Amino acid sequence: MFLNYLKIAWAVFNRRRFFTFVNLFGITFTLAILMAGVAMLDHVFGPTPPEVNHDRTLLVMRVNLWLENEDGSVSSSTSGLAGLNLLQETLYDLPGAETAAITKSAWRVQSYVGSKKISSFLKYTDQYFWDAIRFEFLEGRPYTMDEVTNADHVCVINDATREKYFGDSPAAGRDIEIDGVKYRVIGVVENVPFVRQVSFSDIYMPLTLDPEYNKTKRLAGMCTGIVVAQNKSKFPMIREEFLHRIEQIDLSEYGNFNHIAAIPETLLEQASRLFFGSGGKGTKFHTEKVIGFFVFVMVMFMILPAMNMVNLNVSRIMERASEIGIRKSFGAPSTTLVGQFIVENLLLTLAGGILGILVAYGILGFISFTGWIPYATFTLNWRIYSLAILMTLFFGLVSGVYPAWKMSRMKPVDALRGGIS
Amino acid sequence: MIRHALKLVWSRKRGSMLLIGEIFIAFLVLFTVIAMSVIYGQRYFQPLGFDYQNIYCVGMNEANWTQEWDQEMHNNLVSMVRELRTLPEVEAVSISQPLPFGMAWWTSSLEYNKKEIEINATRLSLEGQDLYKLELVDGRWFSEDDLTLEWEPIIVNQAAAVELFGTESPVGKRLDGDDDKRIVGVVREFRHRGQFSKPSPSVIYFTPLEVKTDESIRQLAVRVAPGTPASMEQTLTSVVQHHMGAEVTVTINSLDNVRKNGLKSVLVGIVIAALIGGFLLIMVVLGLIGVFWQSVTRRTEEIGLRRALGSPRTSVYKQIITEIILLTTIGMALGILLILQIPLVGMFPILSWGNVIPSLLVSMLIMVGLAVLSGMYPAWMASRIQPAAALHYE
Repeated sequence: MFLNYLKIAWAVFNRRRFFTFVNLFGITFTLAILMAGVAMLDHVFGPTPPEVNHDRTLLVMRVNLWLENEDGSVSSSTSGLAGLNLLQETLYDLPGAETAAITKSAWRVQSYVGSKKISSFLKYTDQYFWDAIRFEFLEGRPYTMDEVTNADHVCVINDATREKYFGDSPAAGRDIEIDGVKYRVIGVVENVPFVRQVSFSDIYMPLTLDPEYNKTKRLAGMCTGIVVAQNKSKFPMIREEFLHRIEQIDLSEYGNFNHIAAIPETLLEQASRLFFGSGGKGTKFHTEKVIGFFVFVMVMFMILPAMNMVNLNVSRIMERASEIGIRKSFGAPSTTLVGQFIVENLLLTLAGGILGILVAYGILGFISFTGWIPYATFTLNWRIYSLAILMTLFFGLVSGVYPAWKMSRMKPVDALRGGIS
Repeated sequence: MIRHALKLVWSRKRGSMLLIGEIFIAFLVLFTVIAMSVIYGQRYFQPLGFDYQNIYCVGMNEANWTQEWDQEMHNNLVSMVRELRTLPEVEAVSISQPLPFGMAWWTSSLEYNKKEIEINATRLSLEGQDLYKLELVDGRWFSEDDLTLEWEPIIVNQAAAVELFGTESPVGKRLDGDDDKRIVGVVREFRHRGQFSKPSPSVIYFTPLEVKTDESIRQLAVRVAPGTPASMEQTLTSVVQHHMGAEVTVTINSLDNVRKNGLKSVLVGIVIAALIGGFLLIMVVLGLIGVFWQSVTRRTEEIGLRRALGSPRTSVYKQIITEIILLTTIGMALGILLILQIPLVGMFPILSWGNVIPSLLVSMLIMVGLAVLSGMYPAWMASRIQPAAALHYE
């Protein structure tokens, strides 16, 4: 039976190649663009190495400080990344957490190799950073607690930086010079895409080497806290304890503020708070709104190609009038016919889906190749494949149901005569 | 003719409705891309109000510089600027914060007579006018006497002057607020956020190089004479390092390069949107060709009969094209009705009558063009139908 459907479908696709081409073109292109888009989102929000603990990681990034007068008006407010002191006072030994780390945002530094100028990103981190983010070490090792406490002049560099400084030869144990100061390379790690702001950098150094380290007490600054929970169910516990701890901070030590807001959150939750929240002061998340927004955009994007396909399929009914007429006069029920046409349409969309994956590969490869985004290596993974299959099915059903229903409704007499106009 | 076409479209209303729906959505997509290009195009051709050629941005940084900007560092800076000014190539040196075309900007607000406006703010020094060749339309530029004033002199652009003071001259007016700010001059325009930024009110605060504040100065803008060779970058670096310390990292960018990089990032966005929109439209055109082709095949009987009764080929051709244009017009009309609501309700402030109307006109033209293009082959096919073909049917 199914084999028969396949045979008929093949014959139909072959009959008017132009129509098959238009349908395939539409599906392929639509799915390719959607998948490239999803792959980029996944690149930013998904659990890609080295952030393998991503699913159970919470970040403390944004902090809001403000002065609220007695009448409820706000007279001054600061908003930005968390400060070192805030994290030092609140982040360590949270119940339910496996490990917690503090890092500073990567910033640009210049250095010279011979007469060649090299511009790199430098990130200061504590030793726990290497537990929270599981880098693969190509050479050497991460810095230890002793090295951080003593502020030893050591650093870990990424693969690209190794190549810039040392060519292909190994780097561990050798020195690099940044802003006139020498540092010993103790480890080399793989490159991390630029968009992964938590883990990205070219050079990593102990937090204590930061010239601003503990010079001024700050609640808002340039730092990010990373908390890896034992598992996802510990999130509420960690948040509650964190909120409790920031309430204990004596704000008067840090300047003219009397309110503070910060919360450990996942990347997606943070995005939801930025886009839909009340300016970051609230601690409510709107994750479902963000996901809803993306689904809405995806559906909107698929509507035009789907309508295009519906129109084409509806106008092709007559082509198959004699087939439908004969099957109906021999007693085929409408449901069987509907089923057959939907299967046919799904076959076409699936073919388009496979082509779409290939084109998406091309698009992503091209973007990676141009180097618009440093160290971006966009890949398609099972998350994207499964979404692609879902989108293909959705597409196939939406564009197939109405024409199939219309076909099955043809009266056998009309159908045998050559269709209704 | 149109009446007849209307009747034909009506008699196949169910099939036509789907087609009209598709054209409606395609029109919305087309409009989005065109409106975006029109908005950015209009902005691109608005004057910037300043000259960005022959300007170097000199950045100074050093890993061991502490947060605090002390008197000694400031003295070094002042002597450095003095030496820069003695160089024959240098025409002006000024603080310029934030730098034009940069990713960072600073907005502040000004209030006059209880009317408050959001305003793009920037800090310039005494030579700021020569640096950017700003054109004064009223009042004066900052002068050395301003250093000793009891109040804070500010300069605004014309847009800000009109928004705050209407037709009155703003020169000498004191703004609301405890900090005594008074307007001393008006420049024609200073759109330092770049060519794709919205022309909007802008204010210049006076920040003399000679006076030390708590804020560190790590960036200067230097105008050099036209035709200065690139070796000037080395001269600048050595002057900076001579005064500020040899370990200071000096980064030198020409402002024109900064501008070009900024343009590129906006253009990439427009090009990607246009490519996606273009692909969607190609798909629609192909789909329409298929639908019209099919509809012509289905109507062989009717068209054959018309030919048999003496209707010339051109008339059949015209009939099909008219029908297509009619369908497109109905779909577009729905789209236009919807789009006109946007400036009426003010849903997106970026879309105003000034850009919606030209965008609509261009989109309509392109849409009709695409529809006719997709109808040409099917219409030609229809005009080739032999009268005899009609006789098969009955």
